[in-house]
Amino acid sequence: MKLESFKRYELLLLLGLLLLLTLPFIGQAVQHDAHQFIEFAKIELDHPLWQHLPDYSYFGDRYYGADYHDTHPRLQSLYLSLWLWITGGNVSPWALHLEMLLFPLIAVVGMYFLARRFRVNAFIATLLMVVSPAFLVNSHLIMIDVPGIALWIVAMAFFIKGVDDNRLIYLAAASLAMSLAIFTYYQDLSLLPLALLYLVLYRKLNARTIITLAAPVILFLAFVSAHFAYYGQPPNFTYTFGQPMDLHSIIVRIRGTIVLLGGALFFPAAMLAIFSRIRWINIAAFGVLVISVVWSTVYYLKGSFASDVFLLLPWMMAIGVMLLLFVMRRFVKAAPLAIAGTGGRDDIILCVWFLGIFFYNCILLPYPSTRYLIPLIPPLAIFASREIERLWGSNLRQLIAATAIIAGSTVALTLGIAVAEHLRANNNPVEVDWVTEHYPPNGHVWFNGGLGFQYYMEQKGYPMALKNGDGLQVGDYIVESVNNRWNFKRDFLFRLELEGQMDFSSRWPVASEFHVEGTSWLGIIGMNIPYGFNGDYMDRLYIYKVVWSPEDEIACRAQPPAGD
Amino acid sequence: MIQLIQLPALIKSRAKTHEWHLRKVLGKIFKTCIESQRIRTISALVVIAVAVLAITIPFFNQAFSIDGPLELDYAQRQVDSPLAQDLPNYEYWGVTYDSYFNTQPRFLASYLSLIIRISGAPSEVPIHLSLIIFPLIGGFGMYYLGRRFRVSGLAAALLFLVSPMLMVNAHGEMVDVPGTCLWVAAIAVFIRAVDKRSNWYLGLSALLMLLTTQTYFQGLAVLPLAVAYLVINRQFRFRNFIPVIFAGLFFGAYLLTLHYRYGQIPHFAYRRRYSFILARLRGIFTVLGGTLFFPFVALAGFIVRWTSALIFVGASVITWSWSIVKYDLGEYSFSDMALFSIMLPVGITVAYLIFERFLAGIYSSDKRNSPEGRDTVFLAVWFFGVLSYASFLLPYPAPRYLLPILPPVVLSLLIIWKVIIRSKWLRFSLVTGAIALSLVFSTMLSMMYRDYADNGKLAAEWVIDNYGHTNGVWYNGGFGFGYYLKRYGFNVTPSILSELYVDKKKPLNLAEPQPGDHVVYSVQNGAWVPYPSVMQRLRLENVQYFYNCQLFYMPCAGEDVCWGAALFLPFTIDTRGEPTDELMVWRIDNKPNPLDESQKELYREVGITWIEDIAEK
Repeated sequence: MKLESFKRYELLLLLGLLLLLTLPFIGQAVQHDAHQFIEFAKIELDHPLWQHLPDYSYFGDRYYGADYHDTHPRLQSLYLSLWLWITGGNVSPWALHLEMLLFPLIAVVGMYFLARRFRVNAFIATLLMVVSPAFLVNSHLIMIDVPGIALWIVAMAFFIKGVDDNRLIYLAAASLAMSLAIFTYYQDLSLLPLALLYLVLYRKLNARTIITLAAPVILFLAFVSAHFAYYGQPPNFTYTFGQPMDLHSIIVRIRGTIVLLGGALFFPAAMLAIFSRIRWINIAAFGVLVISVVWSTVYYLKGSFASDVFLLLPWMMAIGVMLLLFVMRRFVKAAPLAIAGTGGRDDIILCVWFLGIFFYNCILLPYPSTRYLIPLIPPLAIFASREIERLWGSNLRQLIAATAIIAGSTVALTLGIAVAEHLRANNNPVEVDWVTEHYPPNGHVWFNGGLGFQYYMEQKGYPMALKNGDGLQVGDYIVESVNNRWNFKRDFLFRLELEGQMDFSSRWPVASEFHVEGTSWLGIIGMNIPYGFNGDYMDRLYIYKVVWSPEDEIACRAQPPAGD
Repeated sequence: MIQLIQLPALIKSRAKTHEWHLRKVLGKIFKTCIESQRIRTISALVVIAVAVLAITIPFFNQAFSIDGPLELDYAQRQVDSPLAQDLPNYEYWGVTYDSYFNTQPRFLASYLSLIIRISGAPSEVPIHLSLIIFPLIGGFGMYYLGRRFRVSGLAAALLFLVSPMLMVNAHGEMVDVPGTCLWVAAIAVFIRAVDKRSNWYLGLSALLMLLTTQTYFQGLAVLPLAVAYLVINRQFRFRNFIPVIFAGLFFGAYLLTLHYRYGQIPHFAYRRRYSFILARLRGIFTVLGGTLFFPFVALAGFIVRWTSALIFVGASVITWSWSIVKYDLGEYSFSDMALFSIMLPVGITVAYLIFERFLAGIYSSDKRNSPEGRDTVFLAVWFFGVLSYASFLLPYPAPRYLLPILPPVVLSLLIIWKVIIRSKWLRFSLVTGAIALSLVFSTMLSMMYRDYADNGKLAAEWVIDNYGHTNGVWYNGGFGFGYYLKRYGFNVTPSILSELYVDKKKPLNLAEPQPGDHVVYSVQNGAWVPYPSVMQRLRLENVQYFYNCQLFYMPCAGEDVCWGAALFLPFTIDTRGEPTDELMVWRIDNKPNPLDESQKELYREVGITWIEDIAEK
C-alpha cells in the first residue's frame, strides 16, 4: 500500500485493529465491578435519576433503603439502561460488550486527532494506545474506566481545536464532552484544571473559553447540589477502605504505581528501547534495578515473594522510574521556555497530564490498578511516538520495523493478559455451575465472594453471607471464593468448619490475578505485580459448614451433666 | 404736553425695562439656587427627612416584639438607675436570673429611658417616634457618603432608607437600626474629617464612634473600618487615629468598669444555633439577595459584565437543582422554591461583583494611584468585613445583622450605574424605578412584620380579655406576648432550665401552677420546657388561632423561615391563609394525665422528642 493511501486509511486501519483485538473477547463473562453497573442499569429503567441501589448487599455488608451509593456517577449505567430498554432487558455478556464497544472506538478517533495536534505521527501514537495492555484489556470490561478516558480524549481534542482555531462549535462540543466525561467518572474532573492550564499557557483566557469550562463545572455542582438535597450527603467520591494517608500506605501505592508504569502500559523491553537515551536517567534506573533486585531477593528467600514477582518486579520498577524521570526531565526543560513564551507549552501540558494522574493515583485512589492509569496512556503514547520518530524516523523502513516490533511485542503481552483475564472472568459461571451441581440453592447454601462471583451466584438464587453471619443457621453451607472474598467477624468465624475445597486451574501461562502472591491486574491493596506466570489456580472455592451457635453453647451449659 | 403724550409710552417702556430687570433678577436667583451646593444640600436633607417620616410614621403604633421588650426593660431599669448595666432578679424565657446581662451595651436603653421619663410609661407611639432620629441620622450620613463617593447623595440616602433590610427593622425597638445609622454617620463624618483635615469633624466622628460602639457590639467593627480607610488612602497622620483611639479607650474603660462593678465582662455573643458554616453562608447570601432591595433591582444593578452574568447563571442552575428536588420531595412549597432560587443567586452575584471590583480596584490603586480604585477597595473591605463577621461570629443569618453591609452595596450600585450608564436621564429613571420598587416591596414586608408583632399583643389581649379576671393564670412564651402579659401582671411558668442558671447556694424558690390554674402558651412567641410536674398535669382546654392577612408571611416559631432568624428564608409567600399564631390554653389537673396527641404536640413544640418512646413504653 502506498504511503498516501495508507495515510488516508490509517484511522480506519486502527479502528479495524481495535475490533480485531476486541471482538474475540465479546462473550467475556461479567467480572469485577461490572455487576454493580448492570444492577444500576436495571434499576434505572424505572428510576433513571436514582443514585442508589435499594436494599443492596456488597462485600458482606447489607445496605438498607437508599444507603448504598456507588463511587461513580451514573451516566454509563444510564447508557446501559438505554440499551436494556432497547433490547428488552438483554443482559447477556455479548450484548453488553457490544454496547460498550462504542467507547474504545471513539477513544481511537479522539487520540488520532489529538496526536495530530501535538505534531507526532498520529498513527504510531494511536497504535500504541490501541495495543497498550492497560487500554485494551480493560476495554473488555463492562466498567467505566475506558468510557471515561474515551470521553476525556475526545473532550481534550475538541477543546484544543476550539481554543487554537477560536471555533465556537468545537468549544461547545468540548463543553458537552467534558460534561459527559465528568458524569462518567469522577477522575475526569482532572480535565478541568488541565484545560485551564492550556488556556493560561496559551493566553487564551476569554469569555468563550471560560464559559466552555464553566458549563461542566456548573452542571457538576448542580448534580452535587441535587444529590445533597435528595440524600442529605454529597456523592460518594471515594471508597471507605484502603485509602489511608499514612506514609507507609502512600509509599506502597507509589511503588505499585511505578511498577504499573513499567509493566502495564507497553511491553517493558520496548519502553526500555524508546526511553533509555539519557545517561543519567539510565544510571538512576539501573540503581533502582539493583536495589529492587536485592530487595526482591531477600523477600524471595524469605518466602514472601514468588518467583515471578522476584523476576519481574525489579524490571518493572526500573522501567517505571525511567519513564517517570523522562517525563519530569521534559517538564523541567520545557518550563523555562513556557514561562518565557518561546515554546515548550505542548510539553508542559503533556507532562502535567502525566504527572497529575501519577500523583492522584498515589495519593487519592485506594490501590494501584491498571485501569486507574489508563488516562496516562495518551501523553505517554505521544511521547513514545515522538521518540520513535526521533530514533528511527530518518529511514522509513527502520521506522516501520521499529513500530512493528514495539507494537507487535506489546500486542503479544496484551493478548497474553487479555486471554488470562478472559479465562478468569469466564471461570465465574463455571464455578457457579459446579456449586449448583454440588450444593443446590435450597436456602441453606450461602456465598462469600463479590464481583463476578456474586453476580452469577445471585443469578442462581444464592443469598450472600453477611460478615456478621446474620440469618445463617447451624447446618448451613458457605461457598467462599478466595479471589473475591471478605472476612467474617471473629465471633462468626469461630462457628465455621472447613468441609472442602475446589481449585479451578488454567493452563494459560499468564496469571492476571493471584492474590496470595500479590499479583493483580485489576488491583488490590499491596499489589506486587500486575501479571505473572505463577498461578496455581485461577480461583479456589472453600466450602464451610456452620457447626455451632452461641445459643447451642448456652443450651449445653444449661443442661445437667449426664448421670445426674 | 409732549411729555404727557409720551407718558404711556414711557410707562410702558419703563415697565418693560422693569420686567426685564425683574426677570433678570429672578433668573439670577433661580440659577443661584440650582448652583448653590448649600441649597441643594438643604433640599436633599429635607427630602430625606420627609422620606424618613413617610416610612416610619405609618408604623409608629406597631406592637413591641422580638428583643424590643428586653431593651425596654433595660430602659425602664435605667429610669431609676441611669448607669445600671444589668437587670436584677430578672425573668427571661422562664428562668429568673439574679443579675441578667444582655449581649449589647446600654446606650439605646439610656436613650429610651429618657423617653420613658418624659412619656411616663413605655408605650408604642412615643418609643417609635423617638427612634425616628436614627434613620434620620443614617439617611443624612448616607447622603454625605454618596457625595463623597461621587454619586448622587440623595439617591444613596433614599435607596438606603427604602431597603427592606433597613425599613422593616426601623419599625422595631432593637439596637440594629440605631447602631447601623450611627455607624454610617460615624464613617461619613470620619471620612470628611480626614479628607478636609477638620478638627471639628474629627471630634464629631469620635463622638459618633463612641455612640456606635456603645449601641451594639457589632459597632466595634467601625474602628478597624476607619483604620482601613486611613491605610487604603495612606493617611497616616496621628491626628487621624484619634477618634479610633478615643472610642477604643472608652470601650476598654467600659469593659473594665463592668468587670469591676459586676465581676464579669459583657456577653459578646450568644450560642450559635446553626453551626454548619455552609448552611450559615447559604442563609446569609439568601438574605443579601432578598432584602437589600427588590431582588430584580439588585440583579439589574449587579449583572453588568459577562463574568457576573456567568456567576448568576451558574448559581441559579445549582440552586434550582437543589430546590426542585426539595420541592419534589415535599420539603419546600412552590413559593419557597421560587424565592430561594432567586434570592440566593442574586446574593452570590452581588458578592461576586464587589469582589471583582475589589480586585480591579487593587490593580488600579496600585498601578495608577486612582482615587476611584481606592474607594472601590474601601467599599469592598467594608462589605467583606461585615460578611465575614456575620458568617463566623453571629449566631444565625438575619437581615438586621447584615444591616451594616447596606451602605457599601448602595454606593457600589450607584457607582456601577454611573460608570456604565452614560445617559443621565436613563440613570435617573433607573434609580427612581429602583427606589419605587424597593419601597413597595419594603412596605409589603413591613406590613408582614407589623402583623407578626401585633399578633403577639393581640394574643396577649385575648388572654387578658378572657382570663384577666381569673386568678392563677400563667404564661409560657416570650417576645411581645410575654412582655404584655407580664406588664398586666400574669405569672410566668418557670422553665426547667432554672436548674442550670440559678445560684446553687440559694434555695430554688419557684412558684408553680397549682391544680385549677391555667397556662397559656403561644406557639409563635416561642416556649420553654416547664418542669415535668407541670407538663404531666396539663389538659388542653382551648385553642385560638390568629391568621395572616398579608401576601408575605414568616412562620418563625422554630422554623427556618423568619425575618428575625433566616436560617432558610427571611419570608415566604402566603398562598393558603397561614395561621400566624396558635394560642393554647391548658388547665392544670390534680394528677398526671395520660398522654394524648395534644400533649405530645406540646412536648414536640418545646423540643422534647423522646415522648414517642415514653408513649410506647
